[in-house]
Amino acid sequence: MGKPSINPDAEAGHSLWSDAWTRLRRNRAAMCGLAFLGFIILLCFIVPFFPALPDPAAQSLPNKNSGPSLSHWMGTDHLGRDLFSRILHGGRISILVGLITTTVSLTIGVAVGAMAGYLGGKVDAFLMRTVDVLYSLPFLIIVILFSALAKGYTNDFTDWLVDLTGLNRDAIAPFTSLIPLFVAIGALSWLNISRIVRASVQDLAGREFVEAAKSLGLSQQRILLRHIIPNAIGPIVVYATLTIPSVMLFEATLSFLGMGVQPPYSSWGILIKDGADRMLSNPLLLIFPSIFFILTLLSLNFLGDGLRDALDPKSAKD
Amino acid sequence: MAERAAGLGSRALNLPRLTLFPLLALTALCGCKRESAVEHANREGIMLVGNSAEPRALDLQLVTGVPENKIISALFEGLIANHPSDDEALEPGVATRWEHNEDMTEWIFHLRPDAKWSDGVPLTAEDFIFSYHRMLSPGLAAAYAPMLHSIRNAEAYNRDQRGYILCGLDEDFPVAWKTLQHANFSGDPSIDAGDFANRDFNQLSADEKKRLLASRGLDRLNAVQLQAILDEPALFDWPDDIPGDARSLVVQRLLDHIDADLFEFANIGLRAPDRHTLVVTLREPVPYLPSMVRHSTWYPVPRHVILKFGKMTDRFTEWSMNGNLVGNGPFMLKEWRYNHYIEVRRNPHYWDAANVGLNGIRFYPIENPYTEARSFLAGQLHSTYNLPAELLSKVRASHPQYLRTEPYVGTVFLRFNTTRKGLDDPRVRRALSLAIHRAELCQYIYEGFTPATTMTPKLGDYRAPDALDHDLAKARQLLAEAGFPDGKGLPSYAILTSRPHPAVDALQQTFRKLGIRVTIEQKDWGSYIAAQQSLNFDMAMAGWIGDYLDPTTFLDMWTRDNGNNNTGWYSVKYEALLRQAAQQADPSSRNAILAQAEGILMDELPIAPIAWFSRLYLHRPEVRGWHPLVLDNHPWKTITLQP
Repeated sequence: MGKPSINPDAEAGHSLWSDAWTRLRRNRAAMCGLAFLGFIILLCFIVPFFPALPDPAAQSLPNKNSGPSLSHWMGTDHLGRDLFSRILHGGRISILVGLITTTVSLTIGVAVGAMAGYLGGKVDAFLMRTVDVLYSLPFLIIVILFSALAKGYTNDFTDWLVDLTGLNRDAIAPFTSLIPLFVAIGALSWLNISRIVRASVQDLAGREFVEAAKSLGLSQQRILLRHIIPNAIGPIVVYATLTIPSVMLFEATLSFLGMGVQPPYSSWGILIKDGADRMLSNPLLLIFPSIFFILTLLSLNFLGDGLRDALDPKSAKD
Repeated sequence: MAERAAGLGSRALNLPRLTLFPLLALTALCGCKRESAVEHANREGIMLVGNSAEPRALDLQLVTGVPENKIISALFEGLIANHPSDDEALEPGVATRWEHNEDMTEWIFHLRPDAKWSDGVPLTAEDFIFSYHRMLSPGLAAAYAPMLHSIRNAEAYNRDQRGYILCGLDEDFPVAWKTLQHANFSGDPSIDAGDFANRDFNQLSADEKKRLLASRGLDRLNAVQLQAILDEPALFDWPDDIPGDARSLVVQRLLDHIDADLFEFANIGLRAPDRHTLVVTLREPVPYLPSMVRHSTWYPVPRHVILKFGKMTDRFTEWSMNGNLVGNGPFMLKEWRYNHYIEVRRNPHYWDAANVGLNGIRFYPIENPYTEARSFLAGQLHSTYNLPAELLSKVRASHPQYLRTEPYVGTVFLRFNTTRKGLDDPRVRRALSLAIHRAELCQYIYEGFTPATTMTPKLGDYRAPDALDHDLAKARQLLAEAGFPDGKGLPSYAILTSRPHPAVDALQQTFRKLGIRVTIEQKDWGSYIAAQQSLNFDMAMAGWIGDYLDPTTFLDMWTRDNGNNNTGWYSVKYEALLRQAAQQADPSSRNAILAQAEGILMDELPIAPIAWFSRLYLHRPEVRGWHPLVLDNHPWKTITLQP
């Protein structure tokens, strides 16, 4: 009776995840970033389905370079196309590029890194020397070469997909034309993450809980998947949030060079490139897409920062 | 970790930085921040010129583009030079004076005795004959060679009509050409023999041999094939009126000269009675010859340098490259930094070196016109290649002193590859042309340009009937008639372009309205030209600037085998009309025949003219001696910089 009352909440089980979430929630910048990302994803992936939004490819030359108005919220571009609609449609591509290529690169990177780190020895040496070789390849040139080689196949694939599903070609062509880009970037950008995961796994492999798992007779696969990788998740998630913006920037670079999305489809990279050309005649064409792009990148960086703090194993002992 | 992520970013961004390098180099050259590149260049007497694209080479007989031509006109000089302020006035070049006979078929050019190449070697009439020989050689396959076809027998030589040259031009040949000319010399392209040609001739069956020989024609046969005809005359299908001994005589003559260069035999109308006299004999009167010889196809090329780097007919050898090129113009090549700039410096051996106003010119291959305009406004160029129409009102308000809008003789057009499925049907091409809203394009995209109604812009007294209009309903109807209702059944086409341009996006959307799927394919200048010359494209955005002030500069190229045609289209009737016009001395009836020819062109539409150019560019006022010219051929030597 005389015992001090204990807060019942404090007694409830706290998983690593809920701790991290609590810490993340306290980080205002990260939460703002998360909220804005959610908002922008909703905007780009849901609003374009509203019929009220003008067709992003519909030109109206007499109406070109008009300023913001009720019918064109952000004005029109140099061919009289609605800028807001183009930004939202372009955002879908930019965000998809970010998410898909990051997923590809994480999958490969984590698998390679974990195997190298846990198995060690010859496997480690072989995988890491492969990474060294890939590091030495000029990234941009490889991506450009690959995109150029795969171009013809992409068109065939699009035709095949249209025949198979009966989808509107215009709806899927901007995405299928990016497949080589996804594959090429994904296949070459996993190098960093594999090194990070390898280091983490090497560290974790010597810990007591892994020893315990080993002594229980668990299979290597189970140890790796259930015990080691979840503990290395912190750096992986953080790295992912940092890879997304750099891949989106890279898509912008490739589109700038004419290798990314092909007209009339757009991405933020293309919109910014076109806007930069016309910054003397109509600066709004540069300003509006840049705002979306910059805010998205900032949000991802804030979120990444917040996640790093939240998932930091040391802060788990607070 | 942030650093590693940034590592990806910075690796990814390497290339755009490279493209900034020319500008950085410029800034570095300035030395200090206060003095702009232009001010520094003013002190040094060097003009900085935006030149749009990196030239593929500087071999003036092989290149066809305006960017190359700008550089070549600084490095070389023809018999007659351009006047700084009058498109039609003639200035002495290598020739000090020229005269012609009464019917204008023989022209004598008196060359200046002090003319020299930039390495000091004297320039003689023989150099001109070598140059025209090279230009006309079938082996060189120069796109612009037809510009020399008005020289007597030059066309037969250029087209490699060996039978005609060996038998028809030889007055002592025992059989008259009149009898022989019905024989199949040039081949019958309708006979398909593509497969046999790659197989060993002697392994073919008699029937296959016959088909191969008939499809090739006598002029194009090799020694084995000619010998086979000699041994077995029945292999070749001869007209009945040619007697047997005449047949073997022709074949024997062709066999004797199988690999010979027929320049001498062709008796081409070029003669050098002495080192400084060039006599040009024409096949028909060409009153505008002096105007035409100002074009780069008539410039001399240095025999002693070309032969040092390969055979006469080798294409794209090292002779025109950095350090090797020798010219005869007011300037000589000093430095060619690929993708950075080409710099030319004063040529001390030039006959009029004392009156050359500039110490040098630097040509910048800035492909993006927006970048070029920004470089100019930042004080890094004296003159731009062009100005995007979108910036017109902006510049007019902010920098009116730099803005130049001048008339220009040229046409923007869409070139069709008429060998492609769908585009081989004139109705489809007409439908595409009808879909183009030229008035709207000229009002909103090509500001200042005139909507084209024919290929040839308004030139002197020449008027062709208006042929092009905009009618979407009729376009759809034509497509349906051609068997492609709403574009169904047509493949997806790519529009080839050398630079991003809003007009290409507009066309893409326009053709979309017909249900035709169109992509945009951008290539650098050299690949863009090469793709068209090898017919490796569907449609191409193209422009053509007149070479001289006569409608034929817009009409002559649409003939079969012309290196600048690049559409796969030709018409026998069209060519007959052009020949007829060439022989017509009276200007007004000549124009009428040309207009009739243009009617055929605009009926078949291997090209869809879009707009007539006007020259829109930025230019600094300290450049003196630069006057508006409709052909835009500014002689570099009279230009000075006076800040």
